[in-house]
Amino acid sequence: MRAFLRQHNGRITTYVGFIIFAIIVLFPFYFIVISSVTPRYQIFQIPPRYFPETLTLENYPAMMNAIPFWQFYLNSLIFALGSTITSVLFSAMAGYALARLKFPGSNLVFLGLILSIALPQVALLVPIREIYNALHLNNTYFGLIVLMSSLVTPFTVWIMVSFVHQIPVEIEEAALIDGATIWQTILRIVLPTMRPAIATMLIINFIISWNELLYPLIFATRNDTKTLSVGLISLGREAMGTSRPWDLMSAMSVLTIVPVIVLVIFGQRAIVSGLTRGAVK
Amino acid sequence: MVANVSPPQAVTRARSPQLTLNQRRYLAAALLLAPVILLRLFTTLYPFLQTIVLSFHEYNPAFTPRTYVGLENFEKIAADIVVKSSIEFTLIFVFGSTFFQLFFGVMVASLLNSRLRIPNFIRTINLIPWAIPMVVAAVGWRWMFDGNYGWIVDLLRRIGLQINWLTDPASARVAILIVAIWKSTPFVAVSILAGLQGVPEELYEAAKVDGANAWQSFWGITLPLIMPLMVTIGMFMLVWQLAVFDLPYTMTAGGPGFATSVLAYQVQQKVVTLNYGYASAISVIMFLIVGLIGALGLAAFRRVQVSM
Amino acid sequence: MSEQMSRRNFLKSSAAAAALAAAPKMRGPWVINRRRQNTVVLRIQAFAHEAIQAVLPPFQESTGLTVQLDTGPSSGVEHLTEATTAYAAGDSPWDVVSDSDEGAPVEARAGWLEPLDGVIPQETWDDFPQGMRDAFPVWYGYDGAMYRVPHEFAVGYYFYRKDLIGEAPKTWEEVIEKGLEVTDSANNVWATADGLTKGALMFVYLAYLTSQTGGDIFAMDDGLANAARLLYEMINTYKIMPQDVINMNYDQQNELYMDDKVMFMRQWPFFQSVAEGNAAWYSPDKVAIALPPAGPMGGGSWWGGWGFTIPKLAPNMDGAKALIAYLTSNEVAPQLAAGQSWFVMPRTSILNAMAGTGNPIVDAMGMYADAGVIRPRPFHPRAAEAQIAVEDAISLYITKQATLQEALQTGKDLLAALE
Repeated sequence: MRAFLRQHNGRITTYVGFIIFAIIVLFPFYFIVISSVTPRYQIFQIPPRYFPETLTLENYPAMMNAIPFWQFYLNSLIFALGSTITSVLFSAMAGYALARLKFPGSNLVFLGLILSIALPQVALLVPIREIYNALHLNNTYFGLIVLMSSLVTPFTVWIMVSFVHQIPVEIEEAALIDGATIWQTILRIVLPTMRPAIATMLIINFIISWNELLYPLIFATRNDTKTLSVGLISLGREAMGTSRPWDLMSAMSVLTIVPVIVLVIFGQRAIVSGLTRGAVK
Repeated sequence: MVANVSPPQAVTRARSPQLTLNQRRYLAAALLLAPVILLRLFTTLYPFLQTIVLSFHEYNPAFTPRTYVGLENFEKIAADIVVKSSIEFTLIFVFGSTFFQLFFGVMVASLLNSRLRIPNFIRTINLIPWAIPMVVAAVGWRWMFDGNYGWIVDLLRRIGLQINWLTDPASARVAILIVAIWKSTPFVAVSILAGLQGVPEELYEAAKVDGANAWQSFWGITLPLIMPLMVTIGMFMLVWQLAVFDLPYTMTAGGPGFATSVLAYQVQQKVVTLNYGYASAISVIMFLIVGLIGALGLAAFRRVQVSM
Repeated sequence: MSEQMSRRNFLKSSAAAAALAAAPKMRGPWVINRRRQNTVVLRIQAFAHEAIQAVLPPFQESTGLTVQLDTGPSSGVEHLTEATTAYAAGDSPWDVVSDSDEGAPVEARAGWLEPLDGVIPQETWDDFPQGMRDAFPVWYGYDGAMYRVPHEFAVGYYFYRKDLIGEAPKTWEEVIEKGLEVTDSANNVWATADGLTKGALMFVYLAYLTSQTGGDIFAMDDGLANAARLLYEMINTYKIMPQDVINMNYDQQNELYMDDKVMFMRQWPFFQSVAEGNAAWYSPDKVAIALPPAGPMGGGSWWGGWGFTIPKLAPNMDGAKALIAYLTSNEVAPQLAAGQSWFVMPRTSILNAMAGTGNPIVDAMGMYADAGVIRPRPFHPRAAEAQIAVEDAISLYITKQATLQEALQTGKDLLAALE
């Protein structure tokens, strides 16, 4: 036994570590999922139950009756997809320009973009609200997508620049010498090679936009543009004085996180490569 | 390639034969950069400058027309106990959570870097806290901390600990930190992991030959090598968490009282009550804190690089 | 290859879907405030929709207008946020709005509301009792004009377990005395409880206690000091009120009460229907209503409530004026009250229609009115912000972070900053 322990000591510690880690990470999810399938009267019991006596799905339809859930879902999809596609497209263009088409001041532009990450999003709200009031951009998908894609753009440009730097420049030069225009080179040679970076950033930006609270909270006050994050807050606020809708909120939480969990499961490798590229470079 | 040139491009070239390659290159760069630059000018640079201007104004669209008041808003902040307490907790929150995220991040990263075959699902679940909306995390944890029905409260009660998580000011602050650490440690861990994987295996082998144990080789080899990376990530987390508003907003609404209120939350509150001038002044305080963090980061970088 | 294809197709189709779905929503300034000739949009809480729908048919027939209902929040502060966002942007999606105490005074001062003096006939105004009309100039009007017509009259009532304790404590001293007798904290049984969670609920209770001291809560005076001290002692000294009241909302408070864990409490009239809805538990003796316990200045309880307003930017102003006059008329108000107890007010027309129905809330309203304990809600033009200031300051004392004197000074500073 002692020999076994000595031999496998590191391995056992590691596996114990994994188990503790998994429990800490997953415990809240277990709580949320279990709450969502527990009848309301059993959620609020002292002492609490760690596994409900009866399972039920009634919280889900009840939640959908309380708020226009599918409208919020659609809004979230439009908001997240719109912001993702816009930001990745613009950032890929800008990333290529900054990495390859050196011009006087290009480093300054890049530095400015990166430094602008440091400005807290909430601290720029007042002037944006003024602009949005003047242009009537409140409660429009367009207005929300503009803000959100701008928010994720600097990081995306950063990733794109570091990716383009890794692509050998020779192929592009050969194409240019062959007489192709810059635009042809970009479309036929650069874009295909940038595909992995583009895919990665599509996933990451989708997750970030899907999770966004502040912009929709401030600029989408009507149900026809509210996203799920804001909807979850409204569901809680609406009943703040007179009820504790944890049964409904847990059901809504579960359905809200399904898309991002699916993305994490299938895009894990891409996400990790994207997140770490920024830090390591 | 040449044979493939389609008519529109031929026209373009015919129209601009006088442009040199460099000029064409600048034109292309300008066109490619234009959308991003416009977006950032419109949503960041202009708002940034305008916020600074507004911070010297008294401005509430419901009550007071915009009037220049000099430093009055900042004098108000100096006397505003709620904002001052928010500055205090903002600093505690930002530095405290970043410290623990780095600490646990190194642990988790070392775990994930183990030479054992790691079940793929461990890597996947590691990303899940990062990937879910903060709103969902905050709401879920808020109910786990609930004084009557919360699981955490019940589990602690079973081992004889009675903590009033959300009613006691100090405990509520700890609760907020716990959620922030839980939510962002995985992101930090993933970033550190990339650094760990870059440490050459030979260094460990050599240390082993010299008789170093795992702890010694971590302390002597790994940590110094990943230190610059840690500083970068730490800087990023400090700045990023300064902007965290959704966590206290959703979990405690800054309460009990204003114990868990942060500056980002205060700005949002002033914005929705239309106190635009005051909100801008608090925003300027946030800019100053960003500057402070930046200066600290630069100093840390210099030290790390000197020691290497 | 097939994988790449599918990914590309996925992106293409999702982009197309997003663009398609977004297209009709991307409205510019040209579509906003387009005059709507035939519809009137009424924004009101979801739980009132049924009662409203029931009275609409005659209105729609006689005017040819279609009334659309939009759901507003039940929190007054939330309403203020949403309405001011729209109005400040020069936009009103609604014609008639159920507007809160927190919202209307701000909106009236900002010039965002339509004056109602000529719109509402004199007989409607005359239908309100003098006690309510006294509060009209500050809470429902501004600068001599009326901007809001009340449709709710909410008083905090003092519910108690007649079946368990026989009689409710009549004074603050009795509250403590009796409280110590009946509290059994080991079994989670408390003399009293209240939902005091952040965002105005603690203010509601402090203002209630302050109305029993004759103090002025927004002056941070001795009256408030007495009220805060009582709350502090109930929670921290005598422990006859659970400590987590400061995080409880009304639902938790009601549940504790209906779980037989609380003997007496202040609560809004909606609790009556909550209790009656809990048929297995309910009996009239379990939710008896007494006069509020007397503080240094006798009993007291304040009233406030929601009322109808018309935004200046209402897309259909004529329709809005017709609808607001109709809903508040002496004929329709009693119908609304019959449909939803939220609309019950001490208006002559409503009291006449409900006389002798044995409605406990109507009876309690009479009892409180006769005893002269009903006070108007303490006024502040920026109620939402002032309430938060009071809560922030007093919670410092309740959670033992400051002495009472320090907390009051803090409150004074915070309120002064609102001037």
